[in-house]
Amino acid sequence: MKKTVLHFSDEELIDTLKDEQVSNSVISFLYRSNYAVLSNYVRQNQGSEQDAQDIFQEVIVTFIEIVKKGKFRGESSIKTFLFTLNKYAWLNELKKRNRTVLREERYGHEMEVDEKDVSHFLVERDARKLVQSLMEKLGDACRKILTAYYYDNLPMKEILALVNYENEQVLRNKKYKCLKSLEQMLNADKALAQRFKSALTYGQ
Amino acid sequence: MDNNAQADERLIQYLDGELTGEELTAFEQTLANSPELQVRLENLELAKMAAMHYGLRQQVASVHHHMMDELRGKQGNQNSGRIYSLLRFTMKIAAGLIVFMFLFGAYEWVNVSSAELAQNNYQPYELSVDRGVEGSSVIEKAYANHNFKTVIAELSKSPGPGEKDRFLGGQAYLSMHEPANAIREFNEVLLDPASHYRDDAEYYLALSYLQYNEPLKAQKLIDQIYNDKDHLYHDRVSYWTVIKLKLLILKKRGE
Repeated sequence: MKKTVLHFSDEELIDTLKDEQVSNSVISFLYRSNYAVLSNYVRQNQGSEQDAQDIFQEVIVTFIEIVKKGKFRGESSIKTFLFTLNKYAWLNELKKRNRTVLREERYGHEMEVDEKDVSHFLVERDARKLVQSLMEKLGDACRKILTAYYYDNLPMKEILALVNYENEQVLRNKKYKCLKSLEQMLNADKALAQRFKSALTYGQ
Repeated sequence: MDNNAQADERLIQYLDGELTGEELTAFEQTLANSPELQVRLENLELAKMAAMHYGLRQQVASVHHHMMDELRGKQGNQNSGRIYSLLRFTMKIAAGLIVFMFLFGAYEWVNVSSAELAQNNYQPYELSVDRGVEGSSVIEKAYANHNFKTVIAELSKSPGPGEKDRFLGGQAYLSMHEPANAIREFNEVLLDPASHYRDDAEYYLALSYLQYNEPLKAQKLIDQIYNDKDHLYHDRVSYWTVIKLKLLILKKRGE
């Protein structure tokens, strides 16, 4: 069967991303339209293919969350915005690896004003990664239940089919415990909790 | 269930949008008056955001794998497309060359002949004679004046002509398009392995065979001259002459 490839204008893309559920076709469209150029930038700047892929995934997640939080102002095209996000995510990564001190010093000084606007979205990228690892620590069942409920917006009846629990009430209790566990992990350290919040709300 | 647990349950119900009507209004009032509850709600909201962030990451990672396969396939197709275009271009040039060579070969096949080869490779032998110098024979003088009939007549009369007279006789016969006689005279010259006219006689004997339409005999001499860089006539035999002669022999075999 022939696969339908959807095309979106910048406006349509933003509107679609603001919907509660992000469709795979929108993410695929972002890949088809931007991966070649963005991954090339990473590869041409000391990055491997794997680095390019990791950074691109991060850029897509960041972009979608920025749009959902209403932080994308549309002052530049999506392509330009993604390119700048990709550039600074990668430079930030390089800095962490201590490989481009000179380049970093230069980039810090030469950054354009609109680029600074983009780069601040990346300030807490480490905190976002930490959130990811805390989720991993939560356990498989809790991850499934919480993402199915809060991200996929599935009703309890459908989540019950995904996990092995006797009934909806047991599942509901488990969900409560999972959310509390996650909340406790995230808030164990006040300073860190503040960073998590800042990271997930993009400075809201 | 203690008060804290009850409050948490309520907070989660509120977070999940499960409170409605009076229940919702009452809880919102309680929340507005309790900074502690507000903090706890914020903490739970952070947990919800973390779950949503994780969900989005998982979705992007899942699409990522599919897209990498798709994009790698596309890149592969583009590369093979580029290779295919290059191959097609090369094949076109090769096909053009083959067609050109075929047409050229066909043209040569049709037009090549012993007479044409003899004509194209023939340059009259020039004899340098110091006029009035004692010792020049009548044949030499007649040849120098391009009086080939006299050369032939004098050669016939001569009881024992020398190698030079025989060689010039052969040249005169060749100029008069009498190749059989020319062949005879050049062969006489070549009987002497130490002849001064050996190289000249070999070259003109080959041309005489061509004029006589015996390319196979000419080929032996032509190949010998072509392969011998010290031969006086080596520069007059080109590779193209060798090829054309081979073509002529093939053509004759096919007739």
